Amino acid sequence: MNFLLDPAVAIYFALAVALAVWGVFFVYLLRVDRSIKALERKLDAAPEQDPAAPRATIERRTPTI
Amino acid sequence: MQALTRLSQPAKWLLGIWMAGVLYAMFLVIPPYQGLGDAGRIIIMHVPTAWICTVGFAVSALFSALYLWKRTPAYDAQAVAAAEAGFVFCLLATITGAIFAQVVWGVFWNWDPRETSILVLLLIYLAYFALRSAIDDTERRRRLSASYNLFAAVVMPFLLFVAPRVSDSTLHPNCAFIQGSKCDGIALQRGGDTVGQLGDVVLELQGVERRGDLAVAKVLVSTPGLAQQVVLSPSLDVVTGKPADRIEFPGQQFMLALEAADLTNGQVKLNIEAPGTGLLSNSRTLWTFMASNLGFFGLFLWLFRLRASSLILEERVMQRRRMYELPA
Repeated sequence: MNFLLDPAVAIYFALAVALAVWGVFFVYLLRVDRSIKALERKLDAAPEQDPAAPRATIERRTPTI
Repeated sequence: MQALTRLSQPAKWLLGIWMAGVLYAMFLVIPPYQGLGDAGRIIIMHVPTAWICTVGFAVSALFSALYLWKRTPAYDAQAVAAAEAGFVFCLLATITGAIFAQVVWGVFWNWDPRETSILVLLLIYLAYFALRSAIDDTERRRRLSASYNLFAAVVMPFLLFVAPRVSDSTLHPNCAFIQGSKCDGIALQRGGDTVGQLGDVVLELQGVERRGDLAVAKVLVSTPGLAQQVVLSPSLDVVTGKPADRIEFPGQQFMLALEAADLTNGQVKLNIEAPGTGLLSNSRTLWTFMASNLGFFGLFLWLFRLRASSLILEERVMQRRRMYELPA
């Protein structure tokens, strides 16, 4: 691995590392961007509705004795 | 603002290629700086990230002010997003600056006024994030953090632009690297002010004499803590009025130059110079530097929009959750 520190090679190695870091970060950003857009679409597609009110039925029963 | 920062898909890919191109140019297109070697290339990242950091904090303050005025939750989310992006760029500027300091000063951290002021700025914005996470009540959190953010923004230009410049003891190479920057050096005189300071190096004028067409000063240079003392003899061509011989500071990449000499009164003007002086006069370096600024600005816009959108989404989801909860 020492050849990577050779002055003639080191700059290309440093460039490769920098490009790899940027590439990974760029792809990560693209993925996050896509996820956020998908979530936004999902929320927009399901418009806000009135919450389902709890329902109760009142029934009058006459005791039959 | 939302529409302005919404980058289209081709624009994102263009940004990806653009930044890759900037990296390529930074390593392989621009010439290495004499004396600094390849380490000087870090300037292409360091300066733009520092500028974008100020843009981020300024945008954050703008949205905080808008929030206090209109009380729209989206403005608060955008203020946080811009502050977070600004913080990331500030951190990048600090790290790249420390790497550069290691090369030119021989130490990563020197408590130089520039380093100290950017550290204080980072702490101020860390306190902003801590403040936000410490308050549970949403409305109160937004109000207090927006007010705090405005104060932080008032302090920011002072810490980044004023404090390091008013301080006498800074080695940050403003004057050495940026043409036209004010860098007066120091005037010393035999029998008068014989001792002065350039950066954190102490200079003592021991004599000045004429040798042919040259005025030669004899200067005792002491590094911080008197760790090293050496006598340097920078010279000035009295015919052309320009420094004839620049002497390297002991253990550092900076040089000592004699810029003016009054042999009758024994007065000299000494200044600090870096090997990379005038580096932006090289067109390849200048264009790469401009491209880097533009690329980092695009990256800031993207990060800002992403984070703001995610915070606004989080708020919408929380609202819906609250809406569907049954009353207690």
